[in-house]
Amino acid sequence: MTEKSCGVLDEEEFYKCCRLLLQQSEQLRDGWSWEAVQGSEGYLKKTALRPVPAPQREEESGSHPQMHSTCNPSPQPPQEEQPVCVASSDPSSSSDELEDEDDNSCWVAENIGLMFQFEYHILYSCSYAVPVLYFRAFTLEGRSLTLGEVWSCVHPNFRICLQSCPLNAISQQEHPLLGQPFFVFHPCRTEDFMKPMLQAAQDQHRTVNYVLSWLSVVGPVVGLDVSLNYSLERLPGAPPCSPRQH
Amino acid sequence: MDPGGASQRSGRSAETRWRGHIVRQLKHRDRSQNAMFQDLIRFYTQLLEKTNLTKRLLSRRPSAGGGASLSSLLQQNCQLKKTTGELAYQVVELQQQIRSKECVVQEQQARLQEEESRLTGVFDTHRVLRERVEQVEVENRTLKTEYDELLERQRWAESRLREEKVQEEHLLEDMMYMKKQAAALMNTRNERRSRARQATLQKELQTAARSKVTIDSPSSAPTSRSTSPKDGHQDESSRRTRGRLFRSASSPRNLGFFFPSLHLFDRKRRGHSVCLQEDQLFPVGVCLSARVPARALHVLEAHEEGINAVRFSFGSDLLATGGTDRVIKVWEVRAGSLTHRTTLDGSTEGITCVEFDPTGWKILAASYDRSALLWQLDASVPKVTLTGHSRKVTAARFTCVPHQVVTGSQDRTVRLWDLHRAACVQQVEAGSYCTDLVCSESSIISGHFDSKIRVWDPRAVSCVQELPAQGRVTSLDLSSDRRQLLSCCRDDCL
Amino acid sequence: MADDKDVLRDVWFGRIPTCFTLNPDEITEREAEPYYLLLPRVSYLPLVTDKVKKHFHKVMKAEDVEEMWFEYEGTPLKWHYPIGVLFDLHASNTVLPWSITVHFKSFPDRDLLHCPSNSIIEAHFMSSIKEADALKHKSQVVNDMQKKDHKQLWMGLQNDKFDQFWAMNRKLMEYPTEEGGFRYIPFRIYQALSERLFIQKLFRPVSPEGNTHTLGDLLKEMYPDALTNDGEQKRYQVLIHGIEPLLETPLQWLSEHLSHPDNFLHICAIPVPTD
Repeated sequence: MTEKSCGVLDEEEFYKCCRLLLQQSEQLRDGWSWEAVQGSEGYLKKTALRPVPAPQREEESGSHPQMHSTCNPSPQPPQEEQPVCVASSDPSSSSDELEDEDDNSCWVAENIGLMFQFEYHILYSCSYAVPVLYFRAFTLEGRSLTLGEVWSCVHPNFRICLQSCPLNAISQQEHPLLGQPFFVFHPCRTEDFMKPMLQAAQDQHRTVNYVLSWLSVVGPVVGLDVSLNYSLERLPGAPPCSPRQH
Repeated sequence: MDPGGASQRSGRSAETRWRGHIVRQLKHRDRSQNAMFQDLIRFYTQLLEKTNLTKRLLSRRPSAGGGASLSSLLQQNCQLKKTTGELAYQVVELQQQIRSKECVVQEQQARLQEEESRLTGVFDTHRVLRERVEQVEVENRTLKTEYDELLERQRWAESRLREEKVQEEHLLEDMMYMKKQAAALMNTRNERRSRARQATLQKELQTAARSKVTIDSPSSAPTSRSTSPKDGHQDESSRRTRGRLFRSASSPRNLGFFFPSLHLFDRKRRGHSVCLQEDQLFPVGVCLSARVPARALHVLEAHEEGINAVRFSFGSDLLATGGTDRVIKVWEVRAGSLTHRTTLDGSTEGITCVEFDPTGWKILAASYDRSALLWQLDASVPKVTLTGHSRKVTAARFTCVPHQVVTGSQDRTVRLWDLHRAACVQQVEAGSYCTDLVCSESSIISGHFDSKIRVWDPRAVSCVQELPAQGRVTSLDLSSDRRQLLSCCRDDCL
Repeated sequence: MADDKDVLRDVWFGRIPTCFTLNPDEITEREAEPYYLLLPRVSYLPLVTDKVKKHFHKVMKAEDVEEMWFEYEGTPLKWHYPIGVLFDLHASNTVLPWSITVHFKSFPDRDLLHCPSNSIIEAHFMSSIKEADALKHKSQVVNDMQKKDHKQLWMGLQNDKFDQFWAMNRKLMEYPTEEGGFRYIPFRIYQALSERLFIQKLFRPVSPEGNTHTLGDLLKEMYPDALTNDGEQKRYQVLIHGIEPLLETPLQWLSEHLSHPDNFLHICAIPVPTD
């Protein structure tokens, strides 16, 4: 229902895939929600807290004095704190849960400055006919991260590859629906890497949720890990696309 | 708003409408937004810059004029003096630099002059060379004209030559024709004569048969030079020879043997039969008792090329042949057929003459390679090589003195050799190209190209006798009693 | 057509008289004079305001200067929109010159993109061209271009070189004649009074029946409110480069001639002034 041989998908399919992903997210309590804008248009949204990547903290704190003061007392806190906040069995889902609550509540004082709040949006680009990942990040005081700071959150392995062609990877752009500055994973190469994946799926006669597959490729680069449970859940054969309105 | 099925014309007019509208609107926009403000903004910017400038000047003046104290002035003065000193020092330094630069300049000028003089020198040589080139060109031109002339002359000469050649060919043809006629005439005459002789002989035979008269070897018509009477029974046999000249017509390299009932004859042929060439003239002697030998007893392909010489040994039944193919082959004659015994090589050119020594164990040969060679029969390589002649050796014979050999050559000499020393003991200028030799006990007889037969005394090294022949002597032999000499000449006679 | 070239020139050389005044909250050493400038409509604010920056830096202490941004009547101006679009959208019916307030502090993170250098503008500009070409030719033209061709487009804009830019842009404006136009028209309709910033959807220059789509057709489908029904008072002005083209103008022609250098046709729908 989702695959197209040429590696792109049209708008209607995009919404179908989103609905499906949303259903699974509800079952897994993964925290995705649908934000409608003007009728049918809208986007998937998820917020998550991520620990500040340790190696980059020093240089960030150098450029941002207000962070420096908060971090100074405990020079290596993320490693110590992480076990505490992810004590439950499934690290990704538990942390996500916590972050969901964190949306409207205040967080433990010790974690201030150690975590960034990430907000991920999945939008549809009609120009490229692919989904696009928009995201932004704040410190817990509400200061937006700069592009440099965002890059420092990207895993070094990805960073080297992506920064070689910076115009094609992550840049700051206006959110087409909100009009606010977001970082965006540029969609002009999406078709290229989705094509072989979909081709393979088609050859094996498997149905694939385009958006889910795509997210599992793009998400990890900016710290958005997609739980394997999404793929497991599909096996029992949940109704592939139940009509669901927001 | 655009009518769906609008004709092209209305479409065109609609196009001009919206396009015109856009152009007009743009112009209007530019007038109201751009043109009206252009100058204004430019002037404002200029004004702003000016005020900025004045402001800066104003702000500087108070600090310079108002707060000027004596000390600061003094300080300034000091500063200025210091700078003056520095400048003076710089001036001195620069002057020094100027001097050094001048030196360099002078040096360079000197070098420039030098280069210029060299340049003029080079120009001179260039001019001289150019002149020479011109000169040589002139010479070349004259040479060219001369060359052309010569070429012309050569062409003329060539055409003359061609004409001459044609004439020569004509003459040659005429001559050939005449010669042929002469030969035919001669043949018929010969035939007539021989037939007459035959008739007389037959008559004689008949009378002899009738009269039972013992026949003393009658004026034994000389046999061929190459058939030596061989053994006793040949001698005994009453020999009635009939010389007959065979114009050989068979193919070269064949040996034919005739063994008519009692007599052994040897016929030798050499190729190129029909025309009158000197090397073809090996006369053939035939000894017949009753009939003309009519078939070859034994014919075999013996050599790869033409055979020049053939000879029986004195005592044994050996036969040696020598040919242009540079080897001598020794054959055994047994029961009328030939078996190859041995091949003697060593000569670098064709063999002209072969002879057995009296013992029958050595073979002497003369060769085109300007030497004479001696073999032992059982060794294939030559035992002795006699060199010294300056042209091909045409004849080589054992003399009656043991270990002595005589050779004749195209170099117009006859030489006597000592086989022990393998050296020339005597040399005689014969005056003409020696074609053949024979030896008796006391003399050496040579046949020559100048139609003479010369008799030599080997001890005195002098010509004892000079006999004239009708033509060039080609071949000689002595009868076994050594009293009669057979010679063969280019006039087709014996 | 000769006229078309003139239209291109007029579009390229469109200027807006602007008065820059320093935000009164900025700490200055002395009074800052306003600065007047004719802004090119097709360019971007940070690309043409170096002089403004220099002018105001003179009266300020270096430590008080942060990233410069602009504001018009309380609205932060997004530098990544072409200047002409900003003007048409926010100030089209006001008295000229356009008065812009210059800020050097309190950068509105949540509203504006940062612009630390011209290379960011270049990246934005090129990504727009790419997106437009994805719509027009499935990215084929832009991907066939070499790096230096991309640079030529950007340098043409940066240095205001019409011929240099169009020598290369011409290729981006080509299309197979048998198709009668681009695959899709790259356009954006901005609404002044709407929570929705702009409309950007797929729209073909020719209808399935083979009729040429006009500006009116586009608006009818995308933004029907902008059209005036019979007997109604006109409520919206539809501006492109500060002018109101007739609704019967073919969309393909508009896309070829009235697009901004970023290859998008930026259309502003603003309410008709009431007075």
